[in-house]
Amino acid sequence: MADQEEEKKEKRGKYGLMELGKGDVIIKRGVLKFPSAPDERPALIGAKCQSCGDVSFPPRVFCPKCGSGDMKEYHFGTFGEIITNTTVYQGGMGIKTPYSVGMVIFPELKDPELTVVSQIVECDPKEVYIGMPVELVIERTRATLFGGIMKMMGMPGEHVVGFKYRPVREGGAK
Amino acid sequence: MSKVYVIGAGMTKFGKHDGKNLPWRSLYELGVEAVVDAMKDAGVGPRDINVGYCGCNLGLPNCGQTIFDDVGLMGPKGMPVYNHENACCASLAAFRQAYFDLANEVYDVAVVVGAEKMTAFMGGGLGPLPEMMTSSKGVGGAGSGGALVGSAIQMPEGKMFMADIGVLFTSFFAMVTRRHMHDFGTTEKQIAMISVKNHKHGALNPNAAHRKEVTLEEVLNSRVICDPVHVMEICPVTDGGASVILANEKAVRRFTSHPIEIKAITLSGPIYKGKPLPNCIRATQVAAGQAYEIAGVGPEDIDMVEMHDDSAAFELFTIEDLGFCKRGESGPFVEAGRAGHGGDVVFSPSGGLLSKGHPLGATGCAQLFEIYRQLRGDCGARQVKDAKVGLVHNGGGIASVLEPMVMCIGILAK
Repeated sequence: MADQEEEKKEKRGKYGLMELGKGDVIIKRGVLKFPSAPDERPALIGAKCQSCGDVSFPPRVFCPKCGSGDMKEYHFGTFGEIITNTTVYQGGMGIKTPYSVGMVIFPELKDPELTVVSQIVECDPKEVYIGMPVELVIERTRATLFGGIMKMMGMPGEHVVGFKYRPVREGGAK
Repeated sequence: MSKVYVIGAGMTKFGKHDGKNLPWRSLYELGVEAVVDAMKDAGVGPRDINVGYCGCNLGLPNCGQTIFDDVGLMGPKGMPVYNHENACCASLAAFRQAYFDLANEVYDVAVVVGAEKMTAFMGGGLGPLPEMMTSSKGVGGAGSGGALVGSAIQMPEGKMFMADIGVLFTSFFAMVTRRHMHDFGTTEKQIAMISVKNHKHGALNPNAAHRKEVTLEEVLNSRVICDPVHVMEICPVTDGGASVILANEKAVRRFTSHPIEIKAITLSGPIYKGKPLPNCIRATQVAAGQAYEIAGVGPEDIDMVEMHDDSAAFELFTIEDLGFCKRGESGPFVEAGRAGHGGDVVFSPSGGLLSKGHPLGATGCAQLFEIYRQLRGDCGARQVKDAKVGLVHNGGGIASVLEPMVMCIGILAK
């Protein structure tokens, strides 16, 4: 009952969560740009090297390609394309099975080597295919093992919140 | 730099040492058994060993000291010990440290041990009681011990564990496999043939957990874990310990006239760029290229490979990444029997991780155990004919670009 109330209070938009809930732990600090309006799209936060232009995700302090320390925050990843995927039938990781995971590239960036791995959601896992266009959503990725204990102690840690991709619904890549 | 040799190896039976399947053993007891076995094999006494290295992930800190102390190696001189965590590659990476210390003559005789208790909560580091909280039931759970640890340690500023995304070893390999099938037409049957071959080898290995042959139909009809990977194409969850003894040129003649030389032992991290398609493992290519150059050999010289087959499909990309055939041709290579006895090279003569299971820290030393014994001609029914040069391939962890976090390649020769 209390959970349902909490869910009603949480801020959600068209592209998933707009902020962390009470029991949530972020997958990693500084990698997600939450939307500030319900119809605003989220983005991934990487770093772009001001020297060679290479983008890394998660953001690095030094450019992995050229070693420069001149790195600036870079938002990307709103739209992507699947280059491989699988359906997971045996879990045990706090994620309801079967679920799909895939590797995503970002054709807009023209860098086929910048890839992200995530769950592919809001579709039948069997429908995911190599080449499928996807869009970013921010959602809970898994329930943690000790989440119940953390909740009792009033500390976050029940769920991890991170990035997921789903089939593009409308609009498509700009 | 001095040459460095392997002069002995030992291992426990790999299996579930939970008191129900195999006699109960603690993590540390597994390590002790392996070390004592290796010492006997090498003909070394406790006073001969100058330094110890331990590869273990799920034990508590100072795992090596605990094991070596129980053996009686710590002694009055305060033997130095290094502890090494590197996921599935822990003991091979530890072995590499031992190699360099002996090559540089900092020490003369080293013991390396790898041990892991996958069937216990937190790897048994906390003791027997938490074993009841094990999550590692049944096959196909490779790395589930690690996942348990990953999920237990939930820090707000997370490292972005692949586990938090929803990816573990089986889905990692499944994704690379799917792309390999997409790009090269590799079939499920070819992958299943690898499992059949490795289980056939494993049936001849008294230390393997699974000593039953399997048929193609059984493998293809077994439950799908992560499409297209079947449960009988994934290594079982097992506990175990394995150990090797090394000596450099200064010390080796005291113990044996037929030592096995370590020709190369290289280590690579994940290759983040330079891999436009996720259908191979670039870290293997890099580490193997360096190893071949250092050892002065090529794939055509390698008689056998103990590789990291925690998933049967991993053998496909590895055959290509190690240079045994061109990119994309590993499926037909396997189907023609070229990766088994009578072929170009024997992959997984021990039965591999598929038959032995994968106690993370112990795997590296167990691979060395096999190559060492093969080179000595000691492997009985599973002996590789005319074995002269062997290669070990041991990777660990998953980086976000579907590369292992670490890839270690070793070449040993008579």
